[in-house]
Amino acid sequence: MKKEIYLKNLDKQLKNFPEDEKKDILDYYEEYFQEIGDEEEEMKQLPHPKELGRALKKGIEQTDEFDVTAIIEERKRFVSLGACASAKKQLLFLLMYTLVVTGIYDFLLAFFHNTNTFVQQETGAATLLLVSSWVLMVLGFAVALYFSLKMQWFVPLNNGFQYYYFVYLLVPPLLVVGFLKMTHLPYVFSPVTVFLDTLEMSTVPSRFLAYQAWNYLTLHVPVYFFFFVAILVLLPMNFMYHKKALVVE
Amino acid sequence: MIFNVTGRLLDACVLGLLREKDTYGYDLNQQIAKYMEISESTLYPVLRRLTKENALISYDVPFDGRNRKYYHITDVGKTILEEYQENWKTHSHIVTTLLEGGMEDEKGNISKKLG
Repeated sequence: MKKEIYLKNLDKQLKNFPEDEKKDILDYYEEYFQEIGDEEEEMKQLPHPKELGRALKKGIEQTDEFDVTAIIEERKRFVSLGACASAKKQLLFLLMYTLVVTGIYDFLLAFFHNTNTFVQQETGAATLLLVSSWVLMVLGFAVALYFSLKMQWFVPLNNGFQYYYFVYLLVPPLLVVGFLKMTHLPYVFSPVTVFLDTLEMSTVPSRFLAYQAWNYLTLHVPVYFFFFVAILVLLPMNFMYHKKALVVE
Repeated sequence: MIFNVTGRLLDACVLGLLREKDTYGYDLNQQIAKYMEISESTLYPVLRRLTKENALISYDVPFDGRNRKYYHITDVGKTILEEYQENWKTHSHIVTTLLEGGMEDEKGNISKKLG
């Protein structure tokens, strides 16, 4: 294997290492190979880059175990770089986020539900509800984006997928839902109420139930689905990343 | 070699070699390789840790149009090495004695078992 290719392969194997550590290792082996010179025999005796990467990782972890101060230094370095936060913090953030956005939204719904005037004089109150919930959603996303980007509470995962990208994934469908709610007032126009109208079953309670059903289908199901994915899939991946990066908090 | 030289023992060997003269990674590897098998992945973590512990410092020396990273033992490193040497004397004595079937007498001295 040519030196350049070997180093390139080694670089790939070191993707979990912090940048400066990686640079240090690559410099070391570049110098090492330059010392070997053109002796092909010696190059042939080298372990596969994959094995070397693995052995280095193990070696570094083992040598760090000897010395507690080294591990503490390592942790400090990771934390001070702001490159990651503990998974516990991230879980807390997700829970907070879910509670804030969907909780307040549900509270408003329940509040207006109990006042008959809302059902009877639908337009004004319904618009207020929809606008305020829409504003809350946007605020919720603003908070999420702020914390995930500015404070870097989310870390890049091993596969290059940025954890906080999932927040962006949520934005377009919810903007569409918010827009539909503002412009079409699903309380009046949801497909379910239209269906009920065709069956001549459109009473006031059934209209409200239909509104709730539509609301859950369009807003709550996608939100909870994404949080489900986030908590069950992305968080364990993040835990693994933390473990690999020698960070314990 | 059946017995592995790893961890602190390898640290001690590296410090010992570097007390003689400053040298660079590949040369250290070759010097150790004269006496025992050593893989290409072994030395880097050792040098890294000793540097972190301030037992070594490194400096670049231009060579052949590039730089060689030389390692130099610091005073901290020398103190650590002395400690290792002391420790090794006792340790090796104990192991040798046990291997050859020694025993401790009443005064606490290790003597060779007769018969």
